[in-house]
Amino acid sequence: MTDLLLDPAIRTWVFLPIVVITFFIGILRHYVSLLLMNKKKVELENIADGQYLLRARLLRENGRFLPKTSFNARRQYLCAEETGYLSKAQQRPAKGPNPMDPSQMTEMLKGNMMNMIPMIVVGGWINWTFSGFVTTRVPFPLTLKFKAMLQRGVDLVSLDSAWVSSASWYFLCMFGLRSIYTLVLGSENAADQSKAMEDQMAMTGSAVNPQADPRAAFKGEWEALQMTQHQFAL
Amino acid sequence: MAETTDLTQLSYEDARAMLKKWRECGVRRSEEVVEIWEHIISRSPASLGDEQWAVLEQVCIAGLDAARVDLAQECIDSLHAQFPESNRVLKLKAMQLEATEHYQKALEIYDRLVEEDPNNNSYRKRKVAVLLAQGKRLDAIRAINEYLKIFLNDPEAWLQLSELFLQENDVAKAVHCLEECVLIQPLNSMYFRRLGDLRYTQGGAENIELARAYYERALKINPTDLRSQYGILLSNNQIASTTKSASEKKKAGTAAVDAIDNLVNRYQKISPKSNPESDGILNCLEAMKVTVGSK
Repeated sequence: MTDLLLDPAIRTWVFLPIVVITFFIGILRHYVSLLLMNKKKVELENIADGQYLLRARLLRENGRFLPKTSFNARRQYLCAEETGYLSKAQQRPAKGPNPMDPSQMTEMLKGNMMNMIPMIVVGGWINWTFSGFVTTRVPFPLTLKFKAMLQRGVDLVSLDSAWVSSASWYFLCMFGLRSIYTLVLGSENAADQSKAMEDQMAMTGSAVNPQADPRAAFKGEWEALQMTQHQFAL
Repeated sequence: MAETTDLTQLSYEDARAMLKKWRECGVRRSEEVVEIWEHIISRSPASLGDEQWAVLEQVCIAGLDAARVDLAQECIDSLHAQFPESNRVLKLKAMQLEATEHYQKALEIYDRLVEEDPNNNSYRKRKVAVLLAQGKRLDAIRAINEYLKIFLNDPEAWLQLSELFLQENDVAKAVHCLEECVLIQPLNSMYFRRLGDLRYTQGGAENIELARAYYERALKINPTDLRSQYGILLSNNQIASTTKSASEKKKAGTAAVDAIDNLVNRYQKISPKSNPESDGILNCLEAMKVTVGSK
């Protein structure tokens, strides 16, 4: 099979524009989100919660350096039935992000808008303008499975799967520009699509995040501390 | 000081690296920082780029520490021009007020800062520092307690609180604070040594035993800790002379003798030039060994 020869105009008018457009859209996203988002406020109580959890863990781990009376006093302070911080914290009503709170709602809406609108609009536009081009080729052979990923919009059975279509090139750029954004905007940027997606994934699997439901974490620490046997290590 | 090089002869890059190292490690070498700034960096602060502001902050604090209020004022002015609404600059301003003994004004600024940003613990710590500078110990204790209700894993604050309690002669509470420090940083020999000191001070058979355990722990973490070695000697000596069981007595006695041997070893290694009193101490230790060994 003879090799495909691409028109140099494709490079100038499709390949490079897609890179440049995705890049600048990322930059734009960053600054727009800076405008729209206000920094998440961490409540003082959350900090105290985290500190108490940490302290309970430290007590479990390093309590062996304290004499028994000191250890028990501290355990009592944290776990006592009525007054202990860990016990009290378990009784607190669940807070969490209240989905009905309007300010929270706009916040979530803003986040979603920032992700979805550019995705749809720009993706659609790129698809419409640049559809049907084979833009470039990855320099190594790939199996057929990659065709769906790399040749979106170009359905040719005989085309080698190392070739990349314009729509796919757009997606590759979108997810691949992360390190360049970090270079340009610093590490805390909002330009990156893939990061936003990771955040959403993290939201769904939030069992490890103590912010989500501190009561569970408190209960776990409380139980662990109750179970701890004190043994003076020195 | 380890290095004897003249700080004013450093190259620009070296000076910059040194400042950076000190800034990140939190070393308090204010005089040297001021010196480096005045002789080297201040020739062209702009070439530091964005690092310039961090350096200015560092120099400002060093200037306050070294009683160079004029220099601090310069730094604050240029920082203020760059960040007109920054709380961090405002804090520097308050620290300058502190250094010039305008405590009331400084406290007002800190109060405002705490209100604006309740999560930042450094402002609360500064408030305690103001109280300490004014000599209001009880108020300082109260303030630290308030602070520790939220940020209760801050060993620095616990240590400060234990020192304050010691000044109030409340050994039991000081012990409590140091135990907190141990919980947070179980590999710091100083905490163990101090706990040993306090338990020894409290006295009583049980506390002396504890003191011995703590001294041994401190020595294990830091084998060069001379004070802990002395602590082991003293607590063992005490146990040997008070305990009723004969085996315990013998054990403590030999441990005390071992401790003396270790101390003697240490003193023999150093030359009398570096410590002119080492000969006298050696004689003392030898004499003590005789009395301890004869018990």
